[in-house]
Amino acid sequence: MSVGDETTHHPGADWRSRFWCVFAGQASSLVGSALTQFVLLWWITDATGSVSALATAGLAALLPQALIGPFGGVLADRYSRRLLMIAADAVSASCMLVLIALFLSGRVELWHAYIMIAVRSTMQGIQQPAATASIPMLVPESFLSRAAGLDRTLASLTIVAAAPLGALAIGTMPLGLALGIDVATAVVGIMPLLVFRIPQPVVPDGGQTDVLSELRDGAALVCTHKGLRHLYMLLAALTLIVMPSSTLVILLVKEQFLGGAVEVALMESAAGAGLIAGGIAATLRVPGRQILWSCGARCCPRSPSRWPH
Amino acid sequence: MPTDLFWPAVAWWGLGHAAFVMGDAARLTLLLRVVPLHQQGRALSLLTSVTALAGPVGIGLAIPIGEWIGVRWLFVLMGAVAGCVSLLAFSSAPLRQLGADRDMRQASN
Repeated sequence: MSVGDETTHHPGADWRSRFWCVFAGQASSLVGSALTQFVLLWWITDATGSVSALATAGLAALLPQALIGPFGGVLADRYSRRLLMIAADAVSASCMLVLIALFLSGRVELWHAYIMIAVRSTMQGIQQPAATASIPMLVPESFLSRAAGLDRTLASLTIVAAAPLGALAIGTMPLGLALGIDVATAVVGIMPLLVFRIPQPVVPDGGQTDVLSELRDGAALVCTHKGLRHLYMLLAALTLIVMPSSTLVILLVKEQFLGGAVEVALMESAAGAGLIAGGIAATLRVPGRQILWSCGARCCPRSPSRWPH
Repeated sequence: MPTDLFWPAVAWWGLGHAAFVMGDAARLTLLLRVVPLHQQGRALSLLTSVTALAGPVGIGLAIPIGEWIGVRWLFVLMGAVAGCVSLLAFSSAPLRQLGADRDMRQASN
């Protein structure tokens, strides 16, 4: 399905069931992925006890997504966003099935886990822009603020719930079964996408060229529009300024409040509660002027360290 | 810094996170509203790349400053500068106008 006029796009009368099914599927897939990522990192830590092994896993988790990210955005604009989301989940789940088989056969090696983590990171670089860019195609303009609030609540939940749910899975089931959660949640994520279609925007004449030109086109869009350019500069500056607080809060608790692990855990719990509460508040409240909220709320110096945009 | 200010710090830390998410949801709504639908994938992933690069640079800058002034004053500095930058952003007319009209989408049609 194509959209004829971008400024008057409406997803149709049955948008509610379609949006909620797709959102619930994506929520399941994201939480499952975060949970099993924790399980894999724990297994690496437990099996090796090595800082370099854990650092390599961290690189495998971050680097592919960072590198593929800009191209993932171009793919989301060129091809079916629905098929990209299905393919990303299917590839991750297939790789996880291979890893589970290796675990069950006792032939698993450390590098198998690295590859799994890197594949998932790459797939997230493809899935994330496709999923977020699908939001305005799935909901009417009047619901966009709430949909964005839900998206951020889900991102918060993924950060907050990954460790406790992963620990619960490790404590209550064999490793193979714990990793199987990722496959099951990926299937739950794919099912609504097989049932419902996501409308694709119409590309104006001459708007689709080659991947590199479209990549440049995206950068030019931001650079040539003053408002967008200022917004991106503001967000980059604020991330640069406040990001260290995420890392250094442990030192603040230890040196200034003379606290230990319990006090650090209290700070992190407060952060988790704030993330969820803020997401829910953003979903329930519909601000009239987003830019005022965006600038105003960011006066509070804090940025989650692994924030998915 | 007195240790009995720990609980206010916990509360403020939680409040800061809540405010951040509210601002981030507004940021996402704004981009989804103003960027032409067929270019949203690129615009969103570009922002992800920009902030992903800014994070490590910030940590790289904070380490020597923190060594010099101590972690307490580093947090004070980060809070003060972030607040000033956010307030300064209100002085940008193009930024204030962003989302007030639908110029970008209309221009793309």
